[in-house]
Amino acid sequence: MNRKTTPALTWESRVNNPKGIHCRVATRLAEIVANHDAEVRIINQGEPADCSSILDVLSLGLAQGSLVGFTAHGPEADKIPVEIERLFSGFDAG
Amino acid sequence: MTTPSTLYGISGSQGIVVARVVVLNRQADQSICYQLAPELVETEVDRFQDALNEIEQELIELRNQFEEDLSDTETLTIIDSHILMVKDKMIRAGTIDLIRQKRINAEWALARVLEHIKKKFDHIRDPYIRDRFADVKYVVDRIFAHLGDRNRNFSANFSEPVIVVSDDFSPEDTLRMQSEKILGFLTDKGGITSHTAIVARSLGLPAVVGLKNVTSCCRTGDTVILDGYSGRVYLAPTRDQQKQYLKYDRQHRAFSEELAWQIHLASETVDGLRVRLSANIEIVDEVQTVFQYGAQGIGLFRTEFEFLKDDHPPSEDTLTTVYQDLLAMFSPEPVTIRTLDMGGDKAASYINGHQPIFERNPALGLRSIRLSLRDPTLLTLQLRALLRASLHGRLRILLPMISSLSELQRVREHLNKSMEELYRKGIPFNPKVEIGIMIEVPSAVILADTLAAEVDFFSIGTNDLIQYSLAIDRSNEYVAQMYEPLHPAVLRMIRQTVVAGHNQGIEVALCGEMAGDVVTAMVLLGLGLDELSMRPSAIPHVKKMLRSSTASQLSDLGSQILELRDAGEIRNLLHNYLAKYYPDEFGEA
Repeated sequence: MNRKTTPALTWESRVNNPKGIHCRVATRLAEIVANHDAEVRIINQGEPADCSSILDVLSLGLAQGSLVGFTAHGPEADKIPVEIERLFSGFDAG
Repeated sequence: MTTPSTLYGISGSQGIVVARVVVLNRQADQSICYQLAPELVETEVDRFQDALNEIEQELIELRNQFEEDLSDTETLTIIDSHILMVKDKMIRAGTIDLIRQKRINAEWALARVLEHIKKKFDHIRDPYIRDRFADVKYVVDRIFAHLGDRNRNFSANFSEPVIVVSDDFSPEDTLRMQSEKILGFLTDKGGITSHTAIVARSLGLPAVVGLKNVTSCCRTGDTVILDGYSGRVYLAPTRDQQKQYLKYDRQHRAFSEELAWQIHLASETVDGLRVRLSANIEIVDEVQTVFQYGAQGIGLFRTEFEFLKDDHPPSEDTLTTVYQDLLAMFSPEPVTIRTLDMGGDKAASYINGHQPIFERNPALGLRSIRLSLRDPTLLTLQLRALLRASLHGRLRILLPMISSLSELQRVREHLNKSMEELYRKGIPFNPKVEIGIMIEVPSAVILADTLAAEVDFFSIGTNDLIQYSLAIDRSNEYVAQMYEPLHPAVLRMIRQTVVAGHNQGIEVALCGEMAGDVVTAMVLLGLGLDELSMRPSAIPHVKKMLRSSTASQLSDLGSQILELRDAGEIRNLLHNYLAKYYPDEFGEA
């Protein structure tokens, strides 16, 4: 089944990590996506980035407190929000 | 603007080639840029991917090491993020897309991708995240380094023999390009004595230099005619033109074959005046051509290559082997080995503790013997190797760019120290090894009588002597046409040096480009030089001219020329002289 045709999961999340989304957080984010069969995009003020690309995510320059949108496609898309929520809580990494 | 069909440059090395070109562009960031032939695009993509895969493997190994050694999770995540960057689609897919779309080499594509990422990072307001660009830069630099290793012999990437085109070639570029895949060189910059021209001549490959804009007038894959005799390049030649040029080339080659039988004959005039015709070489591999053209020994062995080919100096043992092999090969003929002549455009990167120095005017700066004396580590290394090799043949040690007596004395002190050291260790050497100096600075000409008393031979280096006495930068295309070997000031300086040397009973050789040009070589023979050292392929022709002259005819020519007031008058006289004595070659058609 083409992922593009499956209904997208969308939600919003706030970055609570003290130093924003820096290398370590972006790395974890990419790992979460790599561990699941899903395609995840992060959107900041209308600008999307592919969560599997650490450079794409880093270049959004997300500081602590940023409110960002997410879309996830794919069979395991529903498992993504919880993990990202944990990562963005700031207790998991950095 | 329309592209002209013919470009006019300076003949750097004779010969004709009709072939496709590969254009190499050097960017400001030093990443070379060149267009790929369509069939080589995927090879380039593979080269890039191989480099990425290698780095990924290296980083994974590094990570595994750390994982065992320590529980430093911070370092581990940094390595993880670097691994992700190597795999990142922005870098991987972005670069590969550019290689395919623009048919351009990986370094250039990667440099553009890095620029793009930099721009995105520059917009980040958060300073902590913005500074993460340092990690991106680190990873990309690593990719560049890996590509560099795979680029060392980039000419191997050409599918057919080509003409290489660039704004200029560095000494390292040209030495690296000695490959059967290369048929000729074209450059925007440079004159007859630029490094590209010198190397091309010694390799026997045609070259046209100083074309100003050849890099923008032709594109990789275009077929051109390179005419190294006239210094012309024909863009988009017709079939007929190509055929005509190949025929013209065959005629020139036939003349070379006619010269071939000169090789085994003595280099002397009809009445028995002998002049040694020896060879200039840059790398030991050239000795084959030296024998092939019948040189009597080596008049100039430039020793920089052994020091430039790696990023560290050669060992004393390696150098000793190179020198003793060379001496043994030519014994009993002399082998003149010049000590390091670096600086300016060809310093090894490890000199000066890897610190590049900025000089406003490198030709008048810290180069050659001055550089050797400032930190004598490499000089003494070389002197010891030379001494150790000295018993294997007839060695003549040549010191470049001497401009005063004290400079010579300082080198002598180092030489004496090296001798004492070897003596103490019981290593045999020739204590009477011949020491000579290059006469290539006007002050050395003026002091020639003083210096002649202190050395065993002179060797006049006309390339630099002309540059320094006429104040002409030989690679500056705006004044290159004023670089005049037949300037009377130059010829009188040569004569003054010869007289000073002969008064002290020492031999005077000459090893500049002038020796390899039959017209100027005739003048030099007239000025009384004992030895002319030139690119090996020029020897048969000069020998032919020498063998059909008499000693008095040559010395008459010399004294007549020394009376003349400018280069124009000298050229006129030469024209008449050559037409009279060599009507077959120089007579009016």
